Amino acid sequence: MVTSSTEEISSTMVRQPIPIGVRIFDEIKRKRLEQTIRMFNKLKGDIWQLTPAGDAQVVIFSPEEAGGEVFLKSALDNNKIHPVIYAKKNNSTCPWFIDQAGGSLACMNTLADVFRSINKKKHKSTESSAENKSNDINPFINRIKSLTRSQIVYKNLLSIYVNVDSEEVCIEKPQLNSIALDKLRKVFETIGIGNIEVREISSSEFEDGKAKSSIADLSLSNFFWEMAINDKQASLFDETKASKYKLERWPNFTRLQHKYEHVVLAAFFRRFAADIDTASAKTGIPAEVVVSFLNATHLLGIEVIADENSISFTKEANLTPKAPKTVMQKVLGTLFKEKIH
Amino acid sequence: MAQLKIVFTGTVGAGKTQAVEALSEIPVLKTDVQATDEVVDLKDSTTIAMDYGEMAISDGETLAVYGTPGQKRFAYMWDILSRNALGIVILVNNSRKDPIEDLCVYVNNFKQHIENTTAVFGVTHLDKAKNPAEEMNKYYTFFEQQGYHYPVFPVDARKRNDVNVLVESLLAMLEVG
Repeated sequence: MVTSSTEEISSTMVRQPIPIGVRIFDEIKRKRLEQTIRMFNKLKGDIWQLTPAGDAQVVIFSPEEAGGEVFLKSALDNNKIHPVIYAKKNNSTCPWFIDQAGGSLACMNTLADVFRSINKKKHKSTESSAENKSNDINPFINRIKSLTRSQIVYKNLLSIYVNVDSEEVCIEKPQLNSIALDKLRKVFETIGIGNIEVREISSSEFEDGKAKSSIADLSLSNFFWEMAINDKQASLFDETKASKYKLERWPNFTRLQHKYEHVVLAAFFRRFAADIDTASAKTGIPAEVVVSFLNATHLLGIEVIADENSISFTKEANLTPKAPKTVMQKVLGTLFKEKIH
Repeated sequence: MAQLKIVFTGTVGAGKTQAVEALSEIPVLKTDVQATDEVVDLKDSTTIAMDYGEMAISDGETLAVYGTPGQKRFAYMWDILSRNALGIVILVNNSRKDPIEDLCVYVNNFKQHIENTTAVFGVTHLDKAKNPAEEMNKYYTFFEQQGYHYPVFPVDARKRNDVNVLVESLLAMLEVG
């Protein structure tokens, strides 16, 4: 049996956030990393406090940028700063590394590891009480419960059986390997449900669980998408509301639960870079739906902050539909009666 | 008033006829003949002029759903069928030798129609691929390189849900302009 515990994370969630700085000169990469840190905080509580790199305890930097190598050497020597390398490869002795190609998830996994390491040192003498732990139940668990009733099964990358009432995740044994299991535990820790027990079960147990499930055959990306798209409260973008976003590619709507408004938003953000309010005003879709859509695309790693080369959509501009709206509504009315709201 | 229509086009065996059948509320009018050329390795019959289906949309109005022939030698039909269409759905049979080149053929042939209206892309036969996700990445990369903002989805043309998503995306693209 393999267990996963976020006891260390839970016990420190009531403490002061750890100052973290991003010493990356490339503005797009820096903004993306900062956004991921904010998302981490949204999902797990305010663990990190974004500060200038000079004041930070944890600093994300790139050895490929100017002064990067010097910074790493001094950080490793003085032992007060925790350096985190952001690059394509880690050729140094620095233990913390974020793979540039790994997206938000890779970044959050590393940050979770850094946090646990710092936390271990801090809490040798302090044990949190069982009472504190129960107060620290992540709201994400409740969201999962409300969204998925008692049980979910999803399949694809791995076959997993999740019983959120008993906080158990089961994986179909034939597909299990230690790398996949470790990856899975990290994913669950990252999204804030790391206190779920992960254990092996037999195929028959899995099939049994699947039969009782209300949702079947969901991939991990579907899982992330559904969490975000149905959550109208969480916003990963509070502090960057003025930022302009665009989509790197379309979400796979043939597999992802959606409404027509999400498809319109995909068409809009794939074509134009825009801030949340502008997207809402121009498409007529409520801002909270725009935010939940961007949250979901962010978790899939297909949303980006626009750069200067993006075609921006200004507040003054208007959409110019290529067909009369009445025609589109008629066709939609026939195709997707049940989906239009 | 011009007939409201959408057009499904794409490579031989990509599932155009199945897609039209998935949408149509009437029995699909087909112009299939027995395959005698290179198509015979893929299927028994092939479309030589068009597939035609219909959907009732309101008060006697219908949406016509056309499927073009896949083979290039019937390309004269592509332009005829696409005139005044709301948009073009291009299906690509991923199991063919060079599906990206196939895709380029259709993008180039329908260029004017796509510019005037819009297009969406469906990739079919991914079930035959060892790693469907990796196969899709080829298309995402290609679209990125070309600067295409058009949707591209993995689809099973026999499934109404997948075909619905193609049409839904086509409408969303038209709405955004």
